[in-house]
Order: sequence, then C-alpha cells, then structure tokens
Amino acid sequence: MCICEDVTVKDVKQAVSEGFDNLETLKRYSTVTMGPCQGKMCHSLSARVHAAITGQSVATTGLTTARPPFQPVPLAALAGPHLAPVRQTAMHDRHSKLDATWMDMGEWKRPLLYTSVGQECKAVREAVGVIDVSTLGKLELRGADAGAFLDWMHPNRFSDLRIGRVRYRAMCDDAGIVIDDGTVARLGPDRFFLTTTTGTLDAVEQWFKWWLAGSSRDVQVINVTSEYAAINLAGPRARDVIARLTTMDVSSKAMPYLAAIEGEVAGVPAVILRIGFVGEMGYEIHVPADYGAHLWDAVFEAGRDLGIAAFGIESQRVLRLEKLHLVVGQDTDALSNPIESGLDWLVKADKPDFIGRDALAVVQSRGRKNSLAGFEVTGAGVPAEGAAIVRNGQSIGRVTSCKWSPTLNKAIGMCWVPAEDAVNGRELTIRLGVGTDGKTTTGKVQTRPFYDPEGARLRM
Amino acid sequence: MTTTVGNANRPVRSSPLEAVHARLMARWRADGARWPLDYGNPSAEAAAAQSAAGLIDRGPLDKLIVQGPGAAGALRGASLGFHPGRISYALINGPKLQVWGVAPDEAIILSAPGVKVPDLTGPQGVAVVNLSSSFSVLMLIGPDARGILAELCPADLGPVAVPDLQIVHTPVANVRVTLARQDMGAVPAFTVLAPRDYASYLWESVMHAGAPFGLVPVGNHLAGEA
Repeated sequence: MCICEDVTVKDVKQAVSEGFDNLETLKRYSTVTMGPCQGKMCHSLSARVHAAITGQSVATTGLTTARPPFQPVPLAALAGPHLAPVRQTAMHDRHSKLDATWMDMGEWKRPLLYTSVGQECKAVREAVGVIDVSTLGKLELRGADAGAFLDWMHPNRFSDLRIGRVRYRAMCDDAGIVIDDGTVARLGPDRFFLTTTTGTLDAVEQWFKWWLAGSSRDVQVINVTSEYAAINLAGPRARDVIARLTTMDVSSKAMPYLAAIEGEVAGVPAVILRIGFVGEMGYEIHVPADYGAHLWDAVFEAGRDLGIAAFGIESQRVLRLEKLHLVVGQDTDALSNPIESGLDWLVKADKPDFIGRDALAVVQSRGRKNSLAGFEVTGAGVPAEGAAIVRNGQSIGRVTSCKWSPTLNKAIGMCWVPAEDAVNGRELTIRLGVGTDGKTTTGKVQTRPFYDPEGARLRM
Repeated sequence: MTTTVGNANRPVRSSPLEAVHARLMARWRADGARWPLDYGNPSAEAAAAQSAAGLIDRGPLDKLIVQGPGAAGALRGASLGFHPGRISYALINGPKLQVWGVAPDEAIILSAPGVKVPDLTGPQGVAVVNLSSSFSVLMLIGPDARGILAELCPADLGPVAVPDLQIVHTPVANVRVTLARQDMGAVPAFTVLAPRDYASYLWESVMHAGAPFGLVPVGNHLAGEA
C-alpha cells in the first residue's frame, strides 16, 4: 500500500488491532504516507483502507493533514549556509531605496511593484515610466554568416534587416514549438545584438552553439547579458526625458519606431532600441553595467518634472495585456506553435529552410486547432491564471493570463480556445479557479489589442 | 540640443559591490570610480592578508574578450601571449596586460582602465568585444585563501593541480566562475572572474566561509593596477 515505507494492508490491520485506530496516530505509528513520495501514491488509499478496516467512511475519518515539505528535502540542503545563487542588477540598490517589493525570477531579484499598479500604469500611460530590464538575456552575434545563421534559427528573416533597425524574433524548436522570443537589432554589417527572455538565455545560447558546433559558418556568439544594464523608458513623455540626456536627434524622424542606434546617453555609450512592449513610445537603453546606477539616477533626474515613475513587473504584465502581447512560457507552453499563438505573420515559409519549418508546414496545412486570444471579463471576478474555460460542463480552453486593468477599468486576459471560438465577441464561460467551488464568470473574446489597437502611440 | 541635467555629464563607473563597500566605510579611489582604495586602515588590512586572508574587489579593470577559431593566431600575431588554461602577462607600450586563455579559442584580456590594447580585429573568425562591465574580479589572498575556497569549491586547488597562473573553470558557491591562481610574491592568491550580477552573493558567501579563518575585506591598495 505504501511503497516507500513498505507498509502493507496487513500492517495497517495489525496497527489498528493494537489500538492505533485513529488515522493520525495510525500514520505516525506505521509511517504510512511518510516516505519520500510524501503520500503522493498512498495518501487517499491508506485512508480508504483504514476506513474499511474500522468500518467507517473516509467522509467520517477525514484525511491526514499534509504538511510541508511536500517534496522530500535532504538534510544537507537544510544545514549550513544556503548557497543558492542570487543575481542582482546594477540598479538593485536604487530599487531598494524606492522600497520595491521583490520577486524571484530564476536567480534574479526583480522589482515586482514600487507603489501600486494603478499609480504605475497611470505614469506610463500619461507621463513616463521606467523599468529595469537588465535581466533580459543578451547575445552579440558577430561574423559574415551571422545574418544567414539567424535566418536558419528563426521562422522569420534577419539577413535583410537594415543596419540601425530592430525586429521582433520568436524562435522555435524542431517541432515548431515557440521556445523563446525577444528582439534582434542590426548594429553593423556583421554584427547583431539579440535579446532573449530572462529565463531562456542559457537555453538559447546553448541552442545556437549546438547548431554551430562543427559548422564552417563564420559566426561568433558572445553572451553580453552581464555587460549591459538596461532600462525601458516608456510613455508619452519618454522622448522629452531622453532628449535631455543625449546630443543625438531623437525625433520620430531620426529615431523612428524600431530604430536601433548606438550613441551616448547621460555621457555613457549606449545601445538604444525604439521598441514598446507596454504599448507606448519606448526607448530600451542598454549601457555598460558599471554605469547602470548612473543611468538610473540621470533618467530620474531628467524626468522629475515630467512625472517620471518606476514601474515593476506586475504593472508591466497589466500594460502588456492591454496590448495583447504574449509572454513565452506564460501564455505559451510546450505545445504552442507560432501559428496558433497569433504569430503566424512572422513565419516566412518562402525561406529556403529553418529550424521547425517542416512542423510548421504541417500546422499550416491542417489549419489551426486552437488559438491564443484575448478576452475581457464581463461578469464578476478575476479568473485565476490556469482557470478552465468551459462549455456544457466540459473544458474547452484555459486562461493563461488575467489581470485587472486600471486603465480600462475591467479585467482582461489571454486564453487558449478552440480556433472556431477565437472570434471577436464570442461569449465564454470561465471558471474562477482553484478554491472557488467551481464558480464561473463570463467573458468575451477580443482578438485585437484593448489599448491603441492601431499602434499609433508606439510610433509617436 | 542637449540639456545638462544633474550628473548626466559626469558618469561614475560603479562596482557591483558599491553598496557593500559603502557599508564597510570604504575610502574610494582617487579617480572617483566606486571601488575601494581601502577600508580605513590599509596597514591592518595588509597584515591580515599576510597572516590569514583578505578579499579584494579588484577594479575597475577593462576586459576584452577575443573569441573564435582565429583568436589564438590574432593574439600571438599581436605579440600577446596566449596559452589556453593559463594567464600570460604582456607589456606592450606601457602598462601590463593579463591575457587569460580561458578556452582554446577564447581569451579575456584584463588591463587597467584606458590601457590601449593592440587591434585584434580584422581576421575572419575572430570577434573582439568589450566586456569591461561583465565580470566582477574578486581576489582572495593570504595563506588561508586555499582553505576558504575549499569550503565553497569542489575543484582540487592544491599546488600540484593548480600551479601559479593556472586557470580553472569551476563552481564557487554554486556559481560558475573562472578561477585562477595568481600569487602575490610568496603569498598565495586566487582570482575569481564571475558574472557581475553574482558579485554581492559571492562576496557574502566567501566572507561567511572565511569568517572562521579571520578573512577581512581588503582595498585595492594591496593589489595595485592590473
């Protein structure tokens, strides 16, 4: 019955006959459920056996109380100093001074929130906000074959990217599954600056080097993640702030949306990308990390009279949802391909070959089965991430992200639904999630961004 | 038109351990860079390092990575020594350069800030990238340096396995680092090249492991320039 502790039904009968007929004392006496699996295999079985032996029902006896650790933990892990590496960005102490609430993202410490989501989102939408994005993975690709290599590694094309421009990238594995996204900027004929998500850098670097091993391609991959501290300056007053810190022409004509420029900001050499994950005019500024704190201070000083405010990950998550920008690993999973994830526009089937091409060709020929779509909540409550979308009592999809938007004054989210349901206005029944006794709310599908669907604010 | 706002035109290069040093009442370098010259009593720091162990946040140092199948040829062609697995020193028109042969096709050149390094670009198959901010350079110096590292590092750092100027890739406190033995005269010393983001964590971990040995923070006065 309990494989870990080698407790049989006979042992339980014996224990009960010896007077350990209460389930909790039976557990302690027999050690049933107390092995390395911590009851995962025998918790409910042992309760049912005990109930049968004592002539009761499980409803009467109940279950034993599960207590941490839920996973077995070696004593060595609990003894001595906890050598769990922690990574801090160059602006870590600046965030501490702003009383940031921290979150762990892998080994990184990142500010989750400084004030409130409402205040931070308001600053970004109406003035200017700044977020520390130093944790993004960063790679430099050098060499005559770097452009062709990037074409090979992605469904979209980079060899035709002009110097001084940046382009969105999403990368697939051989099965056509989205494994990472970010941007690629071309800084020279044979020089590309690439960003990955915070959590996927190591996998992407290894993936690139695996494909280059034994190859005659002239491509060097250099991990520059720790070299650069980076901020994203976003909001209608972002240009006013950066203009005070550089001699470069930062007008929309000289530095338009998707420009990638090298220059000086606050007296420090910088790579500036005009991109906007949160849907506002944005400047992603990368500087050598030894100057990260200097840049942070300079930006705040320059924006003080313009209403500048720091914003954290929690606000960023709300702002990007208003734009329906997906997060790889949150809104996608190990079965998500770019076509069904709404990234079909970047799959260039006319390219000679690329990783995942055959798998994506199959998806294109069979058509979408499911689609990633936006939704707004029309009923009460904010569904939990992971909550089921149901129809006639059956699960037909799931919520991947859902937040209350202070800008829109309603709850919005992203979800996977059958492709035929991914149409504007389609009504949804959504469970609120674990611990809500199966309660549901209502919503309706939204396929275009909630905020600035034309993207005019990005191009200001 | 540029408007000068506050310190915008006075960039300050900061150690990732700036806050740690500030708490330790560091006296900063004369050039303004936020690395500690000492912690108020340089002779006591030197004495502790000679008799037990001292931990130095070395910097600021410039770091250049030279990578690719043509790296070895480019380095040797520029009269910079290159020996995979070893540190070489080079004197070219002035201050000393350290050439760390971290892999058969990769070197990291360490130098004092602003030191001119020969041009290594040009040949196909060589990428030269400035990674001056990427790495924190921590030096553990003193007779107990090896014993302290043994608390945190699974590699054999004994004098036979790791002679002077030998490079080892190993975890220290579960962080992947490049470590080298770099004795200061007769005093044993190990230099750890670690991604700067881990600097605070590594500093605290090493100081914790070194407390029973009498480990103390030591300023850059003891290490000098590159």
